[in-house]
Amino acid sequence: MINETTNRNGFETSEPWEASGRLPATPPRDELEALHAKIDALTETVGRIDRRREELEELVEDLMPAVNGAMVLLRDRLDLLDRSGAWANGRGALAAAETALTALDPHDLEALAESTPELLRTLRVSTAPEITGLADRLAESLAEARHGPAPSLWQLGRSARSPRVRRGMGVALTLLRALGEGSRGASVPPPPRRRVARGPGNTTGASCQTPVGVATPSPVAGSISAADGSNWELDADGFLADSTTWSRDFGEAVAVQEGLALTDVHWTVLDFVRQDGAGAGSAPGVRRIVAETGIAQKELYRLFPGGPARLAARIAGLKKPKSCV
Amino acid sequence: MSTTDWTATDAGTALAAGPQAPPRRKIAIICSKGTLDMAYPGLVLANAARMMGIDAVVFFTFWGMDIIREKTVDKLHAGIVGNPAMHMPNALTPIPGMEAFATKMMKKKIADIDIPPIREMLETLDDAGAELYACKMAMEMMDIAEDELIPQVHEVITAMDFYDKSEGAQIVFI
Repeated sequence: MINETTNRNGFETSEPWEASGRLPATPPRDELEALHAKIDALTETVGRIDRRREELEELVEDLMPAVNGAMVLLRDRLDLLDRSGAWANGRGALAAAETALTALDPHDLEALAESTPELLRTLRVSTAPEITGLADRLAESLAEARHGPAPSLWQLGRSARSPRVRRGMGVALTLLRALGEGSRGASVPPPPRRRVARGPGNTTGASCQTPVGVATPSPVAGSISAADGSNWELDADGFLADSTTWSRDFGEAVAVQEGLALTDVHWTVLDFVRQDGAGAGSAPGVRRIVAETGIAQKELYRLFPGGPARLAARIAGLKKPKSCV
Repeated sequence: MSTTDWTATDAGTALAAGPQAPPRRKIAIICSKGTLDMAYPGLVLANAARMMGIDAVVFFTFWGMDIIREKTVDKLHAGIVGNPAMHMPNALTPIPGMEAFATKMMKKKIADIDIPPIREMLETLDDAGAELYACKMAMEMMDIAEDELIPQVHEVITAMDFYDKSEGAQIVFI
């Protein structure tokens, strides 16, 4: 036996109408509330659009006398330009614009309403005396150009020497640039170009290039001081100017500047560099340091992250190595 | 707003980093030739950069692939034909054996001034922390499999990857 609150299999159902197979006369309360909220929101949107429309109508009324005059002027110019064949290509664009207008959805209309004041402003600007004068001259030149023969390439090139032509070209270029800017969409800012500037020690993967926090020091002209106040002159590349003034304190001072803490292993390398440099007249290259001290090249680069050849020579008070390897 | 505004902002950010952190110098070298005389300049430049603490990226492409192939790395030849700097009559350069002779001479001269052979040069570069990359397109074009390359090659990359790897670098094409 089936009653109102059990289904065919005798299970209880939460909704009595499921058993009877009929929909309820009214949907649940929360759905209704959601619907009401939607309607409220829509009403508000419509109201907003309407208010804006009223504002626009007022604006248009104010502008009407000016616009009427402008339209008469523009119509005359356009007619002249039309007769000279300048708008042959424009007709296709007009057809396209018509299609776009018929396909507009309400969202587009709202956007259009927003840009209308801007359009009106443009119209006002374009009917200023200077602009209409320019249009006059343009129309005249177009009419002239129709009768003369087409200029040869050579003539075109020569006419570029005229300042007036060049100024005109400049204007055309500016216009084209503005068109390009506009077509890219005002809301899309240009992507930031990659810059040379990088954070210190931005290394990749497992490479043993300079670790984070140690920047390659730029050549330091001038002098360098130790904590105890002693001072050494440097050459333009940041190397000790007078190698006879070298002391371990100088080495320590340079190391501090380069962000290095000198250990015994460092001093093994530095002692060799000094000794070899004294004999050969210039600091040894990395290949020679590796061969003579037996310290692996990888280790050497770990010890002197700012470049073993340059850094060891600098701390050792010698000049840049002459060797390329 | 002019389009150049972001440049100024960007530079401002760079300046804000302060004089304590100068931008790290970086060099990216493209090795596109597979002759002995064209292989050395790129490798020596990259190595010298590392020796003085400049980051180095070396990108091998086209004929430069020979420099990083196991099969060819020890057999690079001097390119002598059509090279007036060889200081020998150009008509003599195509004579069989002439190139082998010139290569032998060049290798000897290089060894004399204690410059390592190409393979050792590449190992040196790897140890020094230079990044070696092979060109994906050249690999496909020349039917080179990845396991045919010397182990020092970090990665096979595309031209666009190269720009990522060489961001902020000065680029040298050889």
